[in-house]
Amino acid sequence: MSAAVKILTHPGLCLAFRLALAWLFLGAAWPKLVCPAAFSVSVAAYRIAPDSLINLTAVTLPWTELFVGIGILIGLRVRACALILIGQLLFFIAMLAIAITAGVTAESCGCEVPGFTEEFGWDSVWRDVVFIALAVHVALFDKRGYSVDGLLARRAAG
Amino acid sequence: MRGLRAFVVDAMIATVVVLVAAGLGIAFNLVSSRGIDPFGVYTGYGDTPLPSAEDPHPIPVVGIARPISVADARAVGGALLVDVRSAEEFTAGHIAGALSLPYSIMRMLPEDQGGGYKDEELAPLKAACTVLLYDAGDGSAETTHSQLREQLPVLRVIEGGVDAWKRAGGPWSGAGGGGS
Repeated sequence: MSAAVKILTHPGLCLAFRLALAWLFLGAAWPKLVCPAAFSVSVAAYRIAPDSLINLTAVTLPWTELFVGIGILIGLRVRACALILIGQLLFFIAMLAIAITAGVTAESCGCEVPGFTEEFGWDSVWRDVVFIALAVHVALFDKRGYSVDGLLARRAAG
Repeated sequence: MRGLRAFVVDAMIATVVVLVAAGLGIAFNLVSSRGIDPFGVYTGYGDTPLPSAEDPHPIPVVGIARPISVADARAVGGALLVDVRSAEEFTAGHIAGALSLPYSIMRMLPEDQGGGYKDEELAPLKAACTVLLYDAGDGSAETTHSQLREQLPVLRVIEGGVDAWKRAGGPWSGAGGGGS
């Protein structure tokens, strides 16, 4: 096994990526959970969802982020969580790209993450692309290190 | 083959997680005082004008306070009502549960020169999810809105001010109320 592959598949690297993704999703979920009305304004600003679906999107999306954030943090069903992460990030990228190319301007992308820009623009798209790369890595190379999954597997093996 | 089966299992678990999370989100918002109606039509709690037949993709109007009707204001969950009338008027009677933030204490200076409100005055507004301003119908709520709109995510002005609220029989504290 080459050194590059060893580094790439190292459980420590996977843990670091999991922590980064958990921080991203839990950090993004919290303000939306405590203030869904404010998030509905951000969803509406995209001018994509019909009015009848804006509230529903605003109340369901943060809870998915919360569940996935906790799952990826403690390492429970990591690959399933990574799949949801990838799906959500692709969805965010598509929505941002459609809105930006349609000429929509808004003060916030509704994707507040501590320490990152929440500007409505291509910067947010590239940021999500980087996080997709992390999620893909976790989905492919997670070997159940430092995780509840690993703990359960070791217990099952006796 | 084994890898594909594992992927299908993970995809099924992911679907269940998404559905459970969505269900909890809906349930939480239905029972929480801070929640919004998950199945309701978006009514534009912010500054974004609502789409219409003439203008299906309206551009947000910066600095203009789009008013919210008394009926809609009473329906918004978890909203903090802020009275911008004078402290004396507030003491004489105000919307039940409202907070007093007199327009007169706002310093009419640019923000970088210490204008606006002090941080401690704004703290309760920033902690609230939705802030609804009302005045005596003199336009002071609109001016306050223009000062605060960039600092608060959901800020609206109650249409018709305190008189409209009383006429509608909204909850009132003190003398001169119109309802309970």
